[in-house]
Amino acid sequence: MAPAAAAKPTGESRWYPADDIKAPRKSKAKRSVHKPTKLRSSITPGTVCVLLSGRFRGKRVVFLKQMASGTLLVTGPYKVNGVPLRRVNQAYVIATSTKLDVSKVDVSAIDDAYFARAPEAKKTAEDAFFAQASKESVVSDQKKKDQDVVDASILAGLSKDKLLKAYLNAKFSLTKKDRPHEMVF
Amino acid sequence: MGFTRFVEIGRVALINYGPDEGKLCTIIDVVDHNKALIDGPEELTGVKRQMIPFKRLALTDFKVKILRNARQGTLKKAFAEADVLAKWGATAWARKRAAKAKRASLGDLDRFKLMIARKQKARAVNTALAKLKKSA
Amino acid sequence: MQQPSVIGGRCMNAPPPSLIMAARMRAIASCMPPMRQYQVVGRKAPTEADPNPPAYRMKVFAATKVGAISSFWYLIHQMRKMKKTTGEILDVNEIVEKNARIIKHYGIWLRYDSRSGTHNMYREYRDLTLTGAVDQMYSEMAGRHRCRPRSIQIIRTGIVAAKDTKRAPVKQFQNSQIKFPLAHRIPREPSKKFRTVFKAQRPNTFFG
Repeated sequence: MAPAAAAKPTGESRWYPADDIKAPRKSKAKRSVHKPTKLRSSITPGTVCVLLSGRFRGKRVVFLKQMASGTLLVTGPYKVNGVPLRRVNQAYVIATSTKLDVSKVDVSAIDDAYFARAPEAKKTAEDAFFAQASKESVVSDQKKKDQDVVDASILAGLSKDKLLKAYLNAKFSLTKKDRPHEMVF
Repeated sequence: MGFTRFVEIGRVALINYGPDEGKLCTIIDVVDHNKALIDGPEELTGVKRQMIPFKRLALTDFKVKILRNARQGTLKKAFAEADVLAKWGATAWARKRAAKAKRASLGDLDRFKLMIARKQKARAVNTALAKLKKSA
Repeated sequence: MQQPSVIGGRCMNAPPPSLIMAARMRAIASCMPPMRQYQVVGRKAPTEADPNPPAYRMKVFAATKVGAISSFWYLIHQMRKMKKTTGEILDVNEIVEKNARIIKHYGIWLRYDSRSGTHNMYREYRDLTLTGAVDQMYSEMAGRHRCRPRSIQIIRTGIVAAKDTKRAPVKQFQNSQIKFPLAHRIPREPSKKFRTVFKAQRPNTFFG
């Protein structure tokens, strides 16, 4: 043992400090580094996904890109099954093995801010109390136009395959004998 | 109803449990009342020479002409000569297994296509049946 | 265990370690780990009075190397004036079956302590490997004689020619024209997860 102790590099103390010295904590800015959400390997642009929750649950949609927030940008396309451009969490989605060609679809302009709601004018409590009904949400013309462009570019490749179109239009559901954990998608 | 399938040297069996599940093998020797020595042959069925309990075997109708403790080459020759794989593939037993495996491997889109095809078939059958009923 | 053989003073050549990589074809997993065969070489530690004590080799059955060494000292102590505290192990190797591709008849001579006394016994087994036969022997002794492994000592083992076998249960499987049906079978599910305790329908047990 003696030679091992002698071989220790000089300058380093041979003894442990008597008191514990706490290591300084990392600065707050360093700790909260934004790590992008990891996309499931089965989800790539063009993957047909089954939505599992929300208003469009059971619908088959096409994945377009991952947003900065980590959510998936999907669309029905709207013309086929009524699902507009929409953000969904990848946890609420089943990725199928079917892939469409979406290389011609340009969604670079669509980001998280695109889906932000317009700030409402503040109402007084009295106004809110007497309001008759909530205002119907209106889809802006710009969004409708964007949807049309995206739909058209997806449908260009889809129009040849009638069965594929019918597939996207059909809703996914389980029957009695189906065991989703043992099924291949 | 007598027995037609026997444990004997050269009997082809299906392995129904364990890592070799679903593969064919040939009985080469009987170890005792519970175990047999089997061989694929490995090149044709993918089953290595091993000892296996009868509990994991299901006997088939096929038999290969070999002697006890046949070597791999001899067995392979006899197995190929008896054309066991083709004959096995033609049995209802094998076809049912294959269909089951095929169905389990279908993806979401394939399941949808299958559903459509079944609908079309049913419609064709029903219209034909209705026609026959009308004319009868 | 076989009589210890003296190896003149020096440690003998060990088999290559590649042999230890044994392809073990043990289809039936018992709750006990499968037996292996080891060759253990040991001797008294050299002293000034005896600088070159004789080395002894013994083939023992044990599940692990450690068990093999332990059982070496237990057995050698009964035959020679040697013990672990004043001895040393020179070499431990696993012995692997040379031909595990055909069924052989293994004879096992053993000694065991029952509740009322000590008995000698000869048993025969059909197996691919000697260690497989020893496994069978331990299970059978436990079943038929309620005998624990600690009270069994294997005296000798050997491969017996088919014509020299004595036990009827072994003899009946020597027929090369052997033929028997598998009666009353319950189809086995391909995987554990498909097993059920209760069936909706009574299973068919006849499969030709």
